[in-house]
Amino acid sequence: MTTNSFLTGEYLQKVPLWHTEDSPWKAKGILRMLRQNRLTPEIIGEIGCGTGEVLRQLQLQMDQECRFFGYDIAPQAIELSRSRENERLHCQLADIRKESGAHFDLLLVLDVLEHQENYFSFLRDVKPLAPYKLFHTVLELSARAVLRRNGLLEGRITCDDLHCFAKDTVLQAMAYEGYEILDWFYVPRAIYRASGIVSKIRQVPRIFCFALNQDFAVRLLGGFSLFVLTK
Amino acid sequence: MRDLRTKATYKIFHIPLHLCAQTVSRQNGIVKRRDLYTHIHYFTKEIGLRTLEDTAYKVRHYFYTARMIDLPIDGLQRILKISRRIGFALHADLTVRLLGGFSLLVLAT
Repeated sequence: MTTNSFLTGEYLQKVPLWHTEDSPWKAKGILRMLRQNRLTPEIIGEIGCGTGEVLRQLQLQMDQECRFFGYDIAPQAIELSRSRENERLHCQLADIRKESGAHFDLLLVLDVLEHQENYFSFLRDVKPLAPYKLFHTVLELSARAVLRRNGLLEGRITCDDLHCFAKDTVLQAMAYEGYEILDWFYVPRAIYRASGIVSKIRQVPRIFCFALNQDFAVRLLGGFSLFVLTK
Repeated sequence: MRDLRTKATYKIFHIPLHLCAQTVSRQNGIVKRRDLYTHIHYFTKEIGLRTLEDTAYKVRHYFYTARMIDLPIDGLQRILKISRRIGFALHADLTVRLLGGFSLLVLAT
């Protein structure tokens, strides 16, 4: 029987760093999206904030008056976030959808959709929480992943990802739930994560293919994720 | 899935396997399935079976059904029918992952 690994602590065993190492490039992507769309939010909420490192990175680079509120249902993540909290950055153990009065200028939904049993109802639930919603979703669906036996199961086994997305399926789900897509771009997640010479050399086809045709490279080789700004 | 589990001892699922390399690599290849059939989730054999196991089903038996060999819906599918037939005879799993057009029939308890 499936149990929620975020509540049982199993997720921390699977992902001891809670993806904290990805926070700098995620924050960079968020700031790029805000700049591109000339948005200057003052109250920022994050659903599934994990260790709060993305919020901390944003706080370091945004207006000092900005306030940041992180929510997570995982007690272990909130425990890890305590050292990052300050007067204008708070993280709490709660399901944001059940918090009365929670409202922000911008809501961050980073790597959360793929963990939801019903991501359509989730999209409906979070829509009223802020005028602007910024999503980051890993695009696990690629021809390469599908061709490999268990290629698509890796995300479920290692990170409890229940759903695999392509750009079109993410945008379609959002449009289906009444979101207005304002802007989106890919980020080369596998390239950011590559460490060591062999791993970096393996990224060359991905870099080359992406330079020629972004959409096709993403669908063929995978290893990318998507930032989407919505209303 | 969890709600249905206690409704019968034996359950038979028929799952279209939309996720294959040729569908994923085409622009709008997957989302077309929603427009055509209102399908909102997409499966491979592995994801389908794992989903059953994750919701406490015990998979007893399964096999592929050749939807697009038996019932090709257009000219392209009729052309692919030959490749699918030959490929499936040589390596069923790989053909399903590469060309698609198959579904999975699963007996579970």
